[in-house]
Amino acid sequence: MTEIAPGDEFYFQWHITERCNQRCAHCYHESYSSRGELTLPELQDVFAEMERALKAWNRIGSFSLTGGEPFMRRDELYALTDLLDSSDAVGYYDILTNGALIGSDDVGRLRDSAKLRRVQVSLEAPTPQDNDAIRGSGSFATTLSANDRLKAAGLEVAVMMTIARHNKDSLSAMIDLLAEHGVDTFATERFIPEGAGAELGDAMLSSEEARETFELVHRLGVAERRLRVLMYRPLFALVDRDDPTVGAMCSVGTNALTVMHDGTVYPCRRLPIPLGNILEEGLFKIWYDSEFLWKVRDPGNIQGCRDCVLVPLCRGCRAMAHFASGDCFASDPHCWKAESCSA
Amino acid sequence: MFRLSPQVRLRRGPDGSCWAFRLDSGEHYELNETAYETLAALARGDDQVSIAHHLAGEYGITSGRTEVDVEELLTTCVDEGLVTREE
Repeated sequence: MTEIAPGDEFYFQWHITERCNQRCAHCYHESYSSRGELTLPELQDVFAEMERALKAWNRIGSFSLTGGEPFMRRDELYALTDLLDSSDAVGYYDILTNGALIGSDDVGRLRDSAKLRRVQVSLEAPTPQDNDAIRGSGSFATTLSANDRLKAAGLEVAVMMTIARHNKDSLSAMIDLLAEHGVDTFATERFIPEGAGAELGDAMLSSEEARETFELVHRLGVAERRLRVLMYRPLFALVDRDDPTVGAMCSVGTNALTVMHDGTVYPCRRLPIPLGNILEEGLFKIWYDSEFLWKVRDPGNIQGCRDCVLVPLCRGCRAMAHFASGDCFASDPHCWKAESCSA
Repeated sequence: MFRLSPQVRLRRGPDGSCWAFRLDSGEHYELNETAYETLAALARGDDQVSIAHHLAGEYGITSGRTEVDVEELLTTCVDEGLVTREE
């Protein structure tokens, strides 16, 4: 597995299915159907197109293979990991899963993957009661069990927590739990009221809560020695602009694309604006010819960011702006700097 | 007669940089302002003579000189697949 310098990387989040064995209350999916799902030969064509683009752009690919639940298509998943393992255009890949379907055969198979960086599972709270209220009965136990088996096999595991009003106060306890279970990496995302999660609109953090949460994650992350706390997300630059491991530009339009189960391409999974279909238009047309992508590449088009000194580092989350205001070029509603700018 | 290839898109970046992108191969080329304006004029349907005359007026040099420069630029662009030459 090769670590990639940020400027050399292009990231694909690849959803190979919409089907899922769980129904998390905050999920960004709207449909859990297999309708439009690509066949294995079509998935292989998708990868050929991705590989062609990576080589033309002289970039190294990083991938997240996910769904839905990717282990719902175990055979196709492994066919793709074999492809990624053998491609010199690929630096590494992660598998984003709920972990419930990972059996002992899977653990062995994953251990043999040459370019698998980590398996990412999700927890929403450090207790079964609170986690399962969001992710479904029994999911806390199955997720930790999957983690423990993956860790016992020497695999790297990350846990993702989607932060909302109901779980923002459990961050510290969550890190303690993950450290006890040997989790390598803790990542957080803000809850965005989209997909099935649109029903939980009041779970979205306020700007003040978001600020407190970002500052808390930063404080915990800097102090933490037991596991790595990822902070390369938009808005973290507001907490510490001088630390290069903190904060990251929204990748929309710059170095990432999401490919859905039917080949539809989005700028980001959380920003479901269709740019085209990878098997019909191809990536070059999508990347070079999308008016949306050209507009979002220009920080002058993003309200609240155009005059901000942090514009090379941040630009907020376009998906959060989209679902909070209906305008993805609006300010990130959680940006406390934008508030002070407009005051 | 030169034409911009239908597989080519011209764009200005947010920083004012000028680019040509090939949709068929993914190759991209950073252009100087004159090359960009020449290809943009070609895309609008101008022929190389009128482009050369326009550039001559803009830069205050002879049309003979700009005709040579435009021919040379477009020939290079043909080699790069950005422009097609039609008889």
